[in-house]
Amino acid sequence: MDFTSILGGIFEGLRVTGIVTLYGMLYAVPFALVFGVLQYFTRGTVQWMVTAVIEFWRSSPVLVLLFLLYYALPSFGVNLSSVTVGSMALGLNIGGYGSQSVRAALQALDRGQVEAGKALGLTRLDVLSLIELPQAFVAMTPTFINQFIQLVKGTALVSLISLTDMTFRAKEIAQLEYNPVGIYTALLFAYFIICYPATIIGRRIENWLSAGQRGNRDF
Amino acid sequence: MQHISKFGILRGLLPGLVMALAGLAHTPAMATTADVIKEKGKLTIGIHNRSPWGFRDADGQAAGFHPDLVRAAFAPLGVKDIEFVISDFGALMPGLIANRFDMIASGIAITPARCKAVIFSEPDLAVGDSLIVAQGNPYNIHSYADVAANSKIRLGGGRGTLNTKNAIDAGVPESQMVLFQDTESLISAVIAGRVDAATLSAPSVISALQDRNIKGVERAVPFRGLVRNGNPAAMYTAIAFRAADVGLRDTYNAQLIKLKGDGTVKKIMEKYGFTDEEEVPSSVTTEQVCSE
Amino acid sequence: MTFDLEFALSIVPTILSGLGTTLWIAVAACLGSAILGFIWEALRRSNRGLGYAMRFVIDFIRATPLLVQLYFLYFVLPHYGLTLPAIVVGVLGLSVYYSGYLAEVFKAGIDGIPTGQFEAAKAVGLTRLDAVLFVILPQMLRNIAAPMGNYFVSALKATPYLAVISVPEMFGLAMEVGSDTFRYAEPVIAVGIIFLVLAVSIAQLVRLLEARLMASAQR
Repeated sequence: MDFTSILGGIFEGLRVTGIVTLYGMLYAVPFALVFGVLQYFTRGTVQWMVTAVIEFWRSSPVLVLLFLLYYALPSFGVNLSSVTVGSMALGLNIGGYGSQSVRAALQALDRGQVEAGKALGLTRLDVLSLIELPQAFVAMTPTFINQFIQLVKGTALVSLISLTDMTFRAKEIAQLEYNPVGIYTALLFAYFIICYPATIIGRRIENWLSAGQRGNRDF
Repeated sequence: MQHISKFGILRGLLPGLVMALAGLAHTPAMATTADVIKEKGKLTIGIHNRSPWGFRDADGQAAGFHPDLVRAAFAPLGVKDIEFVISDFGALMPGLIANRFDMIASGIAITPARCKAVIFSEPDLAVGDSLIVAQGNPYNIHSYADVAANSKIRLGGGRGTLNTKNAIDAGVPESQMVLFQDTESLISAVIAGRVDAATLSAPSVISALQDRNIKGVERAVPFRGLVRNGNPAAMYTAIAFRAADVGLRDTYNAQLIKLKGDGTVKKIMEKYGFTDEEEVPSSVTTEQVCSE
Repeated sequence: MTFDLEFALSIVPTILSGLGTTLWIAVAACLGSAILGFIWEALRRSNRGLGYAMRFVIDFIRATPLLVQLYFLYFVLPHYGLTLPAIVVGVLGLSVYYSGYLAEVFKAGIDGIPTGQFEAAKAVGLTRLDAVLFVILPQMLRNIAAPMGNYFVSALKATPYLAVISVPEMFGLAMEVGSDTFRYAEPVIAVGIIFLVLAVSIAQLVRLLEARLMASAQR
C-alpha cells in the first residue's frame, strides 16, 4: 500500500478518535472545573474526600483506568460501552490534572480581590463566581486547550480496548501487510496534523497572556 | 436582582452529569444471549484479525473460516447481520466473559483450561503448530525439543495461545519463551531478530508468509510439534460461548451437524486453504478434549 | 464471573515481581529525558536557527501520542538495522517523549530567574561559564526540582505503556496473568491499587521536597 492509501485507511478511524475526544472533553472540563473549585473552596474532611476522588483519577495510570473500566467492572455487573469506557477513563484522568490547574489559577489570585469583594457585601459564593472565576478563567484557558491536545493523543490508547480509532486502523493495516515504516510514520503524521495546529493556537494564547514576563535572559 | 452564579450552574450540571453517566451504563441483560440475538437478528463475534481465522476484509466485513461458519450456521435462523469486535488473541476470552461479544469465532482451540471458563461447540478443524524461523533456519530447529535443547534459542509465542502452551508442555523452558500480545509483534520479532523462532498454528504461518513484504524468514520444515501419547497433538478449533449460554451453544451445534452433512463446512475449508488433513475425526468430541 | 478476592491476593506477588523493572524504567526515563531536555534547551538558546528547529522537534514529539512513538521505535528501527531490546526501546521512547516537557521545564526554570540576576552577573564581571555554574544553575535546579519530581511520577505512570511492546513490568505481568487465567478483573484491580499507592506516596515525597526547597529559598 502506498503512503496516501495507508493515511486514508488510518483516517477511517478519525470518527472514533473524534467521538472519544469529544465525550472525553465532556467529562474532563466539568470535572476539572467542579473538583478544582471544590478543592480550592472546601476544608477539612470534605476537602479530603474531594482530593481523594481527584487523586484516584489523576494518579492512576491511564492504561490501568482504561482496563479497569473495560474488564473489571463487568465482574461487578456494570457493563459500559467501549466508547463510554474510553471517554470516561481518558476524560476523568485528564480532568484530574485539569483540576489542579484550576485550583492553582484560583490560588494565584490576589487575596485582596476576595477581601474587596467581601467588603462590598457580596456572599462568598458570589465572590467566587463573579470575581475569582472570571479572572482565573483567563489563566485556565491554556489548560483547557492543553487538555484537548492530551485527549486527542490519549485516544490512541482506546485502540487497546478494541475501539476502531486511528491507531487501531493502523494496526489493522499492519495485520494485513508488513510495512512498519509506512504505517507507523503515517500514524505519527496523522496525529501531528491534528495536534500541531492546536499547539500553535495554544502557544499564541499563552504568549498573549504572559506578555509581562518577558526580558533578556539570553546567556 | 438575582445573580445567576457560575457556581450555581455548575452545581446544577453535576447531578445531570451523574444521571447521564448512570444512563450510559446499561444493566446486565435479564434475557439470555440467544433471546437477544433472535430479537435483534444480529450477533457479535470476537475475532483477532488474523487470516485465515477471523479478520476484517476489504469491505469491512468479518471474514475468515470461523466467521463464515457462524454466518452459515445462523443465517437460516434469521440472523442477518454479523457484527464483530477485533481484539488481541489473548484478550478474546476475557472479552467474551466481559460481555463484549456473543461468541469467539477466530480459531480458538479447545483446551481443558479454557473449558473451565467458557463452553465450546463441537470441533471444526484439527490443526498443528508451525514455526517461523530466520531464513535458512540457522539453528536447525525442527521440533520443540530442538528449542529446549539449545538454551540460546529464544522462542516467541502469542500470549494466551495454545501454541505457546504446547511449546511449554513439550519442554521448552519459560526462560526461553518471549510472549507477545499480537501476531504482528510476534512476526516482527522474528524478522528483527528479537526471537529466533515464533510458534503459530500452521494455517496462520502459511497465511502470514504469503505477504510478499515479509522477507528474511521461512517456515521450519519439517516440524514436529507437541507429541502426546505417541501421536502428534492436534489443536481442535471451535466456537466459544459464555458458560451461561448453553442453549445458544446447543443451537449452534445442531446447525454445525447440518453444515457438516451438506458439505458447507468442506466448502468453507477449501475457501481458506484447508485440506482433508485438517478435518476433525468424527470420534473427537469437545467433551473428550476438555477432559484431557 | 464475579470478583474473586482470594485469586486477586494470590497474584499480587507475581505482579510485584515486576516492581523493580517498573522503578528502574522510570528512573532511567527520567534521567534520559532530563539529559535530552537540557540539550534541547541549551541548543535552543545558543542559536536562533537551531532554536526554531529544536522548537519544531519538541512540538512534533508533544503532538503525537506516546503509544504511537513506542510502536514506531519498536517496529521501525529494526528495519534500519537497529534492533534494541524492548526495555531499551521503552526507556528511549519515554525519554524522548518527556524530553520535550523537560525542555520546557528547563526553559521555565531559567525564565523564572529574575532578569536582574543575569545582568548582575555580567555587571560583576563573571565569565559566562562562571555565571552559569554559580548563579544560574543553582537557582535553576531549585526551580526545576519539583517539576522533575512530578515527571518521575509521570514516567512511573507511563511504564504500563511498555506492556504493549512486551516489557515485563508490573502492568504487563498483570496482563499475562489475565490472559493465562482468562480473568482480567483481579489482575487489573491489583495492579491498579499498587500503582495508586506508589504514585500517591511518591507525589507526597515530592511535595515535601518542594516545601523544603521553598523554605530554603526564603532568606
